[in-house]
Amino acid sequence: MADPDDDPVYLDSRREALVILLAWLACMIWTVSYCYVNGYTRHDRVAGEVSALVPDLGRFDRTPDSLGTPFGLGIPDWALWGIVVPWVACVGFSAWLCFAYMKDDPEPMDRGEDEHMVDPARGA
Amino acid sequence: MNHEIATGLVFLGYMVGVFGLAILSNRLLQSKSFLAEYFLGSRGLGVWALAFTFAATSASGGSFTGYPSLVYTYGWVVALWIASYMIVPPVTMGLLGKRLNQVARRAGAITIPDVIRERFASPGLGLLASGVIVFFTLTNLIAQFKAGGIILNVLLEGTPGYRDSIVPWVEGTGMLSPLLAISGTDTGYVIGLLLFSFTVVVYTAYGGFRAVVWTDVMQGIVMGVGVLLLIPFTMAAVGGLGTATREIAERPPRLVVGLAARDNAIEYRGLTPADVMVEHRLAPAEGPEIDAPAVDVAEDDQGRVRVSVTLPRGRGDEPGATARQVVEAVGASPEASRWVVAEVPILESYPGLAGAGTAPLTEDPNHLRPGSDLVFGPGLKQRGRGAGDPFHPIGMAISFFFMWAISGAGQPGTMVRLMAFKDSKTLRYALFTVTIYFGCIYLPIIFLFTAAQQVIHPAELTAGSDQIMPQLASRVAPWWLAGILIAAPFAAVMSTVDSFLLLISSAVVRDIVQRSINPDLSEKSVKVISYTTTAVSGVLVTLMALNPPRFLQDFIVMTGAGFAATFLAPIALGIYWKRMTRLGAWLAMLGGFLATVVLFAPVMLGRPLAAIGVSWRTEEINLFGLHPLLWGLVASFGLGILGSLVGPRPPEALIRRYFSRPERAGLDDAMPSGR
Repeated sequence: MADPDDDPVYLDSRREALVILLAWLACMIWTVSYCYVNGYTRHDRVAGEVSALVPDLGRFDRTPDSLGTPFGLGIPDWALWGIVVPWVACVGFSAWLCFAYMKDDPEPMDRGEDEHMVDPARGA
Repeated sequence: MNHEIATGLVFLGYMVGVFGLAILSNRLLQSKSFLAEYFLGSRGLGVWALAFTFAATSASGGSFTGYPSLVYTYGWVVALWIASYMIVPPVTMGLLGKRLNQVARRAGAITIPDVIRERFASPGLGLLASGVIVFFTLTNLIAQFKAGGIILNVLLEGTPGYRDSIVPWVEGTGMLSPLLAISGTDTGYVIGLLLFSFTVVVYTAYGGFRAVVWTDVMQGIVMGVGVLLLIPFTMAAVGGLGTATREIAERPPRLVVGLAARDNAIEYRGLTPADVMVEHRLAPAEGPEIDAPAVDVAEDDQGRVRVSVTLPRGRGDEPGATARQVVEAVGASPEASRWVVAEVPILESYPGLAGAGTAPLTEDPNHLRPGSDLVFGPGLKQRGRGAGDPFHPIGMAISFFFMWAISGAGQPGTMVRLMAFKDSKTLRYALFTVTIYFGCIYLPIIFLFTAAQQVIHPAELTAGSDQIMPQLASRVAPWWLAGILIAAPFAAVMSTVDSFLLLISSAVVRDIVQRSINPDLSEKSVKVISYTTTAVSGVLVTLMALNPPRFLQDFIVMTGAGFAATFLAPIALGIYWKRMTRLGAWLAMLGGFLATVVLFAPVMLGRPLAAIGVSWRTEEINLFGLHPLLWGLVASFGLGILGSLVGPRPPEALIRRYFSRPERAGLDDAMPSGR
């Protein structure tokens, strides 16, 4: 729970950091899983590695005949939906974050002349 | 005008710009508080400066050499390798930015060790942080200087008169003899290295942080515009991205061995969808002598066909057969020609190619790659012991979301820029600018260099696939654009090196000399020590780069992972978690540092051990297929949290100072900035 004395910059930054971390996690989960399932020709299960933890995905193996390049962009289907579209969405997220969500907080002035700071162990 | 002269002109203009900005920056330096200006630009970075210094520092030489080369070699799967750049700007700038800037201001900190020392009230932690920075930065700089020397050498080689007049003149005077004796390489590399070092050391030492930032802005704009302009020329050359992608996908399995310039290139084409491996090896010295290439075909234990070509021995370790003889031997073998066709490639740039050069060797069996490997994942490694291994298995795909985004947030060179912006509005606008910039650079590079497969044959890349960007530019773009793009990798390396140089000198001057040895130094002494440390660091690194170890790319990866594993947890937990204690910070830093170093130990020790006859792996240890960075972060965050929870709470005054409102924090002089 927030302390009433907590600095607003600290509280705002923490909230914004959480949103950013969630966005990063969402990107990773969507992009890696979508591309792995839809963009890999082989789903080798290698003992002792992360791939061994995922179920058998052989039915998703791709062949050159199955290649699609939607909308005539020349981008393989898996790369378009797994990477390019999320990338464009991230630009939108970034715009929302920067111009609608992040707050402008007043910053405290430097604590005196930077290079003449007292010893922090004593100063604290 | 030809591309060589254009490159020379662009390079000259670039140098004039760099030194001009350093002079302007030094003038500004005279009117400000020295240390805060020299190492942090007086916390006055505006939107463009923050955005481009951030982008240019992140984009090292690899962005314009190694990354395009990977796309060209492995195709579309590299899009997944780089995909986390979609979210890199919010993570690297927004995760810590605003809060770190505030804490640094409250602490009066101008370096990362400063922040750590102040936040945890521990001079020892500050010194540890400085030590780690010096250790990793020096290692990284040797590699960057080497890259700078090589790039400049390649740039200058194309300049008229350089190879014919200047290099022989330098060799004749003997002025570089001691350095050549140390380096054991050619004069061109040493000249390139010295010129690179002189340029970057002088402008960084003389102009400080602001010169670095201004040159970053210039470099960032040049690089971005260059890449964007290359798109229409390349797409026009290949008939559009759709055509390029489809033609690659339908291409039969292919393998190119050797280089066209040496007239030894051989192209193998697969006649079957089955996996085919090809190897060229020298006949054993102790075995029976052979006078012509011998072809042997067998299935290995994994059901793959292996075409082995044994080459007769010539002089020394050189093969005693030509590429043409190998092609004929493979063609004459009924067994081999069931699986592959071998031929000397027909190249537009090398119409006289006859295969009369020495037959090429392969270090390990190489895999014939169907075009579909360039369009779908996970891609195949072509070289090394793992021939046939996937380039980007799922564990690595996950790791690279940590590698680029999370690791990027933990780099001291990145964090220090977050301490330098003017206000949070600047951060917001810069963050969005970087998002657009990265989208305009990293995505188009994927489109460009998958399409480059249709423009440039691998055998034409006589200096390796790292040269694909200048080669593509020379082939499809007008002279002025080619000039810019050929100079781009040089600009990218410089913009990374200058930041690292300042990082080292700030750690030494601010955190070691001023904080620990003599806090009462006069401003004049601080100035002299700062200029000298930056310059001496540059000279030291130059000397080390004269004869660097061969496996430096691994060291670059190690330093990036090591920085993040050491610094991210103490900084992130320190600024967002009141309960984070000094003990937690010690454990987080040491845990992250040691975990990374241990998992990278084979990279550092494998080859030295091999030199004394002890056999050990030379690649890092990827536990469960995950990169050491992940384990470093787990160790660092885990130990940081545990260490903080088991010890006593941090002093109340320290928590108030960094977490309370200004009026409660005991900051008498606290007030909104710029008001």
